Amino acid sequence: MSEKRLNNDDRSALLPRAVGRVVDALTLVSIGALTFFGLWASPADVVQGDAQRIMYLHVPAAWAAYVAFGITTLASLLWLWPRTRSAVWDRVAGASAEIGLIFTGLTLLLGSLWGRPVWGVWWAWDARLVSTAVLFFLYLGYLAIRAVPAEPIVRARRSAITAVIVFIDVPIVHFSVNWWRTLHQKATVFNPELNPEIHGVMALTLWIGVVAFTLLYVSLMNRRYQLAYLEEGLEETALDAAILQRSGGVK
Amino acid sequence: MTDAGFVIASWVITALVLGGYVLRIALRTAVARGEKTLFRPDAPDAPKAPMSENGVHQ
Repeated sequence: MSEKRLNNDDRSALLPRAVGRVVDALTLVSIGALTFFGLWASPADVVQGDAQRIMYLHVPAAWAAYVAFGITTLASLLWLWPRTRSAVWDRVAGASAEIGLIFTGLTLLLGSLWGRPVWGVWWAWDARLVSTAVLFFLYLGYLAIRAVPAEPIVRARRSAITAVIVFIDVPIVHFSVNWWRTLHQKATVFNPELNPEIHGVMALTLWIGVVAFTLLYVSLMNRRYQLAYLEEGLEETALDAAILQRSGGVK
Repeated sequence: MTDAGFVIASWVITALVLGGYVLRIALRTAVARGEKTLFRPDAPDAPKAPMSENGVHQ
């Protein structure tokens, strides 16, 4: 498109159109299946009753946030390493961080909705909850840094360094329930013993949720990446027009 | 609110948040492609604000 892009890698979409459509269709089917199993097919929990069904959204949303921030970090490292540096990784990092932020916000909202009937409070100053809220604000800050006007290469470098630093909070969030005594329950599936404490239809529903949210993440990434590419082109066009206007002697 | 109420609220909020985000991406993509204009100036022929020496609009 233009030589002003970070390099010549002008990949405008992450997935081929046909693959993108298949992913979209699978996402819708899996979300439908999650709704059916989560609201009807899965039995109510013996202790928490129906309130436990919120887990089928809360845990997959947290999982999708982990995946999104992991991809942001990986893409940032690939951008920082000179041999793999590409504008594609910068766009992937930015797009994935934004989607991760949405999933983190959703995790906090759903956790609050689950906490009220089970704990009796909307919020508690608990290690898992606080570290997740910190995660939300760290990535909000990362996106703010990305929005600061700068040369594309300068913006990409400082964004990549920031992404690597803020990722430190992700393992803190995950292991917080093991490192500190918390009100939040311990990991149900990925616990230190790797012994899932959920079985049967309930486990199946949780896995359907994880698959659905992973597919949703891929679908959103495909769209958000394309938007980042288009908006980058618009920024360049506006910059070219401004330079032309100034060089034309306009005061 | 009953447990079922909290469950329904969680599904509705998830749909609103994710649906809203999908819509936002779709609208911004349409605008970036020039297919849709969200806001138009009242007077399209109005002169633009002059620029100072450092390129900042005055």
